[in-house]
Amino acid sequence: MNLLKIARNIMNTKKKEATALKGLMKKMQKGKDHIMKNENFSQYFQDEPSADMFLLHYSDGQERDFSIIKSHLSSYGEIKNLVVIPGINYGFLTYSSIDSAISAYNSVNMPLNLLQFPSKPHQISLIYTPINVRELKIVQGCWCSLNVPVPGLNLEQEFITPEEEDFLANHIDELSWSPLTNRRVQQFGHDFLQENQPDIAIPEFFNFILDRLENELGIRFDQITATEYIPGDFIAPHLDAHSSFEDTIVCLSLNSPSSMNFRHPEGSEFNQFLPPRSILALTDEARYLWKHSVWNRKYDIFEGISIHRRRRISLTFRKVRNVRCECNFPSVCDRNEEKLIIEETKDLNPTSLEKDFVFDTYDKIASHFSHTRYKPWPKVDEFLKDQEPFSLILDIGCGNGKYLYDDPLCRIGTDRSFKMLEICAERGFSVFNADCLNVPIRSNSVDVAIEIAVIHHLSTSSKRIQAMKEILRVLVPNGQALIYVWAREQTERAFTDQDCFVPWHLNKVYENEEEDTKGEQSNDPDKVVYKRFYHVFKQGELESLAKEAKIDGWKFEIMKHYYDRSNWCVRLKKVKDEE
Amino acid sequence: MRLVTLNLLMCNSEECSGRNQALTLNPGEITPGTTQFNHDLTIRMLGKLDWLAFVNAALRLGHELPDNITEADHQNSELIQRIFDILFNVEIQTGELLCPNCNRTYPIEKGIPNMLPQDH
Repeated sequence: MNLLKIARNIMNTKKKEATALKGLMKKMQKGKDHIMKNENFSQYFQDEPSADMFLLHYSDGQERDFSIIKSHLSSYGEIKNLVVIPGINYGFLTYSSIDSAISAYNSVNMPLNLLQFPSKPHQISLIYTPINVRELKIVQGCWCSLNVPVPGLNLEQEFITPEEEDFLANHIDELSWSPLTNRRVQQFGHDFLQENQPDIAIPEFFNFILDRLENELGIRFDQITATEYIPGDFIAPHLDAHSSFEDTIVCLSLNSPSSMNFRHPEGSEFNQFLPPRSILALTDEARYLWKHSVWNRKYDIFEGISIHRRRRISLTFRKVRNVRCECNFPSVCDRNEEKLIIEETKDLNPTSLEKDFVFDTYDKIASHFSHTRYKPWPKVDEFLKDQEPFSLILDIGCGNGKYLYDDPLCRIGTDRSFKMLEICAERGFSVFNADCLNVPIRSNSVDVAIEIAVIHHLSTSSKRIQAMKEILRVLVPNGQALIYVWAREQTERAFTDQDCFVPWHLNKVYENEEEDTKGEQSNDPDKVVYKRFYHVFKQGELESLAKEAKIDGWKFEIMKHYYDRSNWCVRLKKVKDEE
Repeated sequence: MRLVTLNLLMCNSEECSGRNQALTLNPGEITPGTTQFNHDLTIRMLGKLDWLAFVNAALRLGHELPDNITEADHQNSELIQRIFDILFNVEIQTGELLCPNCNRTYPIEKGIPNMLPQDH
């Protein structure tokens, strides 16, 4: 090679380097801007070396990107913290020694030092920072550990072998999953979501694990719930009903790590890391008192390193309780809750149950309720805004009028509770006091009707159908209705029965001093508890109700049914009944 | 309560069931509203009103309206404005609603007509 050629080569390389450097500087600035937008510190970056560094990886932070980043960065020394989060283009890195940090910094930031990402080879950047990883906003609440200080909680790792893990997962996947709103499940043994259904036999492939659990814990479990969690799926904080199952509850994790949050009623909380193949046994306080949940994250941070969640199958083992719960946590125990037995009759007059635990309760809690229910639910709002301008809208069970607010001229409200209506009238809404079973509105007169969280307060199915018929009657032909009722299958609460009481904790400042309280003293000395009667709807029940409601040659066409915020919902249209 | 609401109401006694029976207004205290005139809204409402019941209710409040309303009247902006004001700018705070068919009365208190069956 002649000298000229060599010189040209060097120049070309320099030119390439200069372009690469320029591009990198630009990307780095964007990354820094993003960090400053998300976080909140007085000083984010520094020039002097530190073991802590922001990591700009310019990828979508999925698991495959993470492993490439990790294996490269490990070559510079021992890593203490490494956080790469799906969907976030920056992460965090801490080396055990500052020397490793410096050597990583100098090498990684060198132009044209590309990492072989599957999408496209590209460079990453490191920036020294005075910040500690624990202070980062994006990772708050993600830290978990193996042994959290919750009394009665016990984790055992590698309870099954990887072969047994595959065996279980494959067999479960051969059976059919039932979709819930935020995850899919399969029930074996007693099915507590389907009342009065015969038990589903526990498949034989579970036998070895039931035997092993019996040997270890001395309990033969007779109810198994398999739950599938795709990364981002969640289960809201809950306690398994005391009256339904005995003391020990066991959770076996298959195929993916995850974490479970435990929360004490007084507020302290911990994240328990769940490695695959581990079992978590909950007894006593952990089972009876602490609420548990799985947050909708796609990763956890364990021992300073982010761990991506994959598809996980969780197996919950329980033993059905046949005797009264005698736990030491009466404040959260449902043993004293009376079982409601409701007789189905054609009589549409209010029963004492409805008077005491719906009408009276709402009058009592009206002002407190109103302070907590001021925001319209987006999907209901969307439905109302979707209507033609100047449509006449009737809100049956309008409460404090949160759906009347937007267009008080064309929207009219009615409610059973006079106290609620007083709030509406003060806000300038036109309302009238009536019962949803006998709506004093001319037939074929309103363009749109909504009945949000109302029908679930009616105690018999004849009443619930009658409420639907009233909507059908008052609508103009082709008029639309939107109905919301509480879902039994919701993740926010667990119900043992479809007919039940749900407490309302009322702060005593809202109590009218002249009247005798009808509420019960709460555990919180400042509060009293008012019970509300609910009939929580099973999936599909609202649709069958809509199909049953027919009147004078008219029926409902179901335009849409969906789940929204713990409710089953239907959008209906009044059409001719040709049958 | 505004007159637009009154116009939708009917007697819901057992005796009047299925009649769409309009109610007679006996107004007590009345307060004026301050809602801005809206022409299109008023026209749209004309199609929905039980006109005769509206004329009767307006008369109870001292407003005289024609017995019929035609397409041509839609251009009569003075009339449309007047209809708007009667529909939306009169707040009936107290009084009662009387059913001319079964004689049941429904009290209006704090601007809210009570249409609940009285024995409950």
